[in-house]
Amino acid sequence: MRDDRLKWDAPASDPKVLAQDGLHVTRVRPTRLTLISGVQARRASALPLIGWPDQVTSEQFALCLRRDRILEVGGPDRLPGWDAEAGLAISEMTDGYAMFHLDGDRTLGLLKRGGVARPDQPSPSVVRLMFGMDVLLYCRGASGFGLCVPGPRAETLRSALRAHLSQHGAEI
Amino acid sequence: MTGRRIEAGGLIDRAARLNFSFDGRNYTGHPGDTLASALLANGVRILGRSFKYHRPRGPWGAWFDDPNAMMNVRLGRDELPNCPATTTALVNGMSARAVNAWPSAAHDIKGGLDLFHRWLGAGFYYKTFMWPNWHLFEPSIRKMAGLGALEMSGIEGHVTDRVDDVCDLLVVGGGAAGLSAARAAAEAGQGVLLVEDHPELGGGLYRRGTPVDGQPPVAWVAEQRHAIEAAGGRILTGTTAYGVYDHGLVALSEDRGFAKAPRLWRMRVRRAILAAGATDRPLTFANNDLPGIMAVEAGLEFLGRHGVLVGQKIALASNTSFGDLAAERLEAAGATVRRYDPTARPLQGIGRKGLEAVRHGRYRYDADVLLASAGWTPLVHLWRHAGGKLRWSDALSAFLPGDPPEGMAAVGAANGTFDLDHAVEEAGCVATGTPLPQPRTRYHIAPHWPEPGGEGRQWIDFQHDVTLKDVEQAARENYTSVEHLKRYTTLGMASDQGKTSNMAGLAAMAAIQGRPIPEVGTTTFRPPFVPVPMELYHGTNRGQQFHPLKRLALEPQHRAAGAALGEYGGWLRPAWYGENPMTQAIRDEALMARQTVGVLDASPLGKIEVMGPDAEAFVNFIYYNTIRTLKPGRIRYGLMLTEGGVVYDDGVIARVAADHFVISCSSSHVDGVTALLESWRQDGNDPDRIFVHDCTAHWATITVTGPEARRVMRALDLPVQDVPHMSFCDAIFAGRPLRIARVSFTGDTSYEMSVPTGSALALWQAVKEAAEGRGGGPIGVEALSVLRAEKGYIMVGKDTDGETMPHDLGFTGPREKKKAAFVGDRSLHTATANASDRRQLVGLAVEEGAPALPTGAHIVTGGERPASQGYVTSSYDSPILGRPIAMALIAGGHARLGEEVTIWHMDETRSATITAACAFDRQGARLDA
Repeated sequence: MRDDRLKWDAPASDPKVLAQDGLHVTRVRPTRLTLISGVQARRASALPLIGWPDQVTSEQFALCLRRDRILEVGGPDRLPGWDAEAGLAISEMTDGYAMFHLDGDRTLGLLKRGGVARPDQPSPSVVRLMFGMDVLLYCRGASGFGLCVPGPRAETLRSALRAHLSQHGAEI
Repeated sequence: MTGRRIEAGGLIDRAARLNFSFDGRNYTGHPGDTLASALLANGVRILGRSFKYHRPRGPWGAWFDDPNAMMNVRLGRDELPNCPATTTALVNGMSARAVNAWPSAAHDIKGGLDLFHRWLGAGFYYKTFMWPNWHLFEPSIRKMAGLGALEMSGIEGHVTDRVDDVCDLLVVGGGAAGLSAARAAAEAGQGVLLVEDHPELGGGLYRRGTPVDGQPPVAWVAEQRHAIEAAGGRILTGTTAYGVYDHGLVALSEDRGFAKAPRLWRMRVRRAILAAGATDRPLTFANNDLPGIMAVEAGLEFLGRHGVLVGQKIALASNTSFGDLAAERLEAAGATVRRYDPTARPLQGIGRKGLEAVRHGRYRYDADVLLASAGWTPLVHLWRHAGGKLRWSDALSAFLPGDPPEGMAAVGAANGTFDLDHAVEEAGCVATGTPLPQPRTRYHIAPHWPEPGGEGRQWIDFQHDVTLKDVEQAARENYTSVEHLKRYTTLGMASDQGKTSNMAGLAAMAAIQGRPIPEVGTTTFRPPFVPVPMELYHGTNRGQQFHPLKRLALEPQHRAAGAALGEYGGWLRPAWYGENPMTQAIRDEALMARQTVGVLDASPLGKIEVMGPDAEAFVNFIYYNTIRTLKPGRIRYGLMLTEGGVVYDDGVIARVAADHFVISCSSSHVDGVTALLESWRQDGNDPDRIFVHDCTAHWATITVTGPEARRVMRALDLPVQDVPHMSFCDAIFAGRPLRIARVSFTGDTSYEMSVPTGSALALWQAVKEAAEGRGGGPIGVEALSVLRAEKGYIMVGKDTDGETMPHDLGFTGPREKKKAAFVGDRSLHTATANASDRRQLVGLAVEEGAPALPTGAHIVTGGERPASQGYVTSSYDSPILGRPIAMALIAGGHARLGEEVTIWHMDETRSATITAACAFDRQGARLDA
């Protein structure tokens, strides 16, 4: 076994991940994330259901992950476990995802360095494979995007975004 | 001096002058030149040396179809190896050197190797360097072989930019057919992307200069570009489509200038139109590799694109009807052209370091250049990458696109439509889906293929010095399959990848065997179509981005506590703490945990929730152990098997409610177990009644273990009295949910506490403080490994291998008694599963005072030829026992307890005694102490 602590940068704690030439990446902390699965999961939330490239217009919304799964963002407090009456599996994931806001005209160019991101190609799901990991990608306004990754991958995403911007920022 | 720059014509900028050097001599060229065109314009004929015999070589092709002119090129501080001179754009200040030649391509000291060619035929090294040992010769052969050498300093900022994108229609090739297809599709409203590998659009249009739709090529190309872009189409020049992969992924390499890493476009396409054109294939005749012999199309390309007339007295040997047009074009540029019919009489090149004359039958004619063509070969590489079939055309003597792959069509020369007007018409029809006109052509060919037994050295592969005689020899030695032929002779390898050599090679093999060419077939077409730098696949995936690890929420605290960090199952975790040397630190931590209390960040442990009305039956089906009888609030250890009955993971299952389970699998297996659960959920189960949530990232887990663990929990005012071993309870910590599980991976009293990661810091600090007040403290994964090994607890993948079944670990109950079906059940009852010599997990004890056994050491039989009976899987110095401990998988191990065995490792032999795997507290008294 060897000591690799110097091989890896210490995780950054600053919520402002990047700010370069009008492109801003900020880590945000939602009040609550709730993972809900079930045959009727897409109808289980009163929050606006967000697929791709639906626009998020408020702090409360539900991301569509697949036909039977949503992630409520800023939704109501729900009891975790199996809700037999509603036929829903409910898990709290507030601390499970790291959520980033990307803003600026060049955001889409940056996202294309990680995977396919075409607002003209609609999809019911916001799940994508980007920068080598599973992410949830959604639209926020004209040139803003939200990106969720599992918490343990937050540093990987920061590092990937930084690498692309530092190497190719002028061409993005 | 043979080649020269003509006064007008071509796409170069004569007003600007670029200085460069080749093999130490200075030359000039113009913007728009390649290294090869500039050298030809300066009268240089020898641009490289062949790989094996170091024969002098000039360019055969004018673009990617040239295998000969490979160079190391330096510009300022940047140097790149193996640059094809025909595709490297000339830049002011470039300094080029031929690879594989010293001191220069014109005067290569290793050129003398050619004198020994009779002894260096195909496969000579397979036969020659066998005795006494290949490794004796290997260093010097490796030193002599190879092309250019890498500059070790690298190039600053040489990082590929990777872009993912999609398009409705990708048109590959910006010649007449490609432009026509792209325009028609774009104007029909399709989302078009046109890629052309040259810096300018136009493809082969400049070679003959033939007007298109009554316009000169330059004007016609400009009009098409304008129309495509006006209709919303995109165009990428200097971009090569080099590979087609699954699900419509086409890889594009965009040239961004010398010493700048190309940009990788990962383009997902709905449809693709292949308009890649065709290349001349070489004529096979004696001395056909002499500098000055090049493809007809190459001669025209140098003329039409670069304004270089490659020779003054040009011999033109072509078996196609297009030869006449070529001769006219060259004569108009000022050359004397004499045509030869290669099918009429045998052809021979005459000269030593370059072509001086041509012998045609009995007649000799002086010539400084011979332009040769044995016909056109459509570029079907991408078609084959995509899975398209080929069909043989007798009329064109070529393989053409046959049954198409999904979403791909071929047009123009790539489809065997060699006439310009027909190609334009065909491209428009294919792009818009309108009916195709009847195939027709003015192109005629008199087939001419290599003739075995011919006189002289006739080259099939210029780059690797594969001659017709080598192919004949391969056939004699029964390497008759084209795939075997390729590997035995090296025909079609390296940068050429068969573009120039394959057709001649397989035609030669067909002739030798007396079989038709299509029956012999082609070798497999694989990406990349042209050489691309490894950097293209690399990009920003370097350093911490090469294999990024998952990071713990408590990493800052571990760093502050002086933790050494290492990778464990894809996570960066504390290995040990403090400034002491590694061995001492691990020993101290293990001892501390046994004597007082250890605190471990166990957050990577899986927390996968399985919920739904069928959750119980599902988990019972997934696990080897019976889970059905598990009561809510209780926990059970379980093994997860593959369908082959092999142990895939071990962990504990907590039952939260009748329809709610939490699976705590190994840290490194969370993603795999989640995928496996999802897979089984959707296969043989009702996916609407079972749901799987991987909640691992939401929870941080902190483990307290040791004799003082219970007191630590009480100090935190946590309800330990309610939690017997293998059970759990829910509590509240700092206003957030806390789950306390009584499970142990050390054999001592242990509590696993899970809180949302946002509360991990508060819990960690509280637990650490309480533990330190009792003489304990944090422990790393290395100490944990020692503690679990003392108890004989396994780590799946370390103490098991790809054959280990549960009964090999001593878990026999479910195999014999479990009535419900479970994954892997059938495989546990095969003859193999019941063999008496299965490798089973046991412990090993060494003699008193002996050091620990090396992990991986083999347990061997005696005698002169010892055979392995198994190997040591884990081995440590146990601080609490004061002696080494080890576990091993040994054939029939369970029945051999007490047996003394021989251990072999790196030529050293030791002895050990087989024991039970558990070496410490076998009665388990400490578990509830």
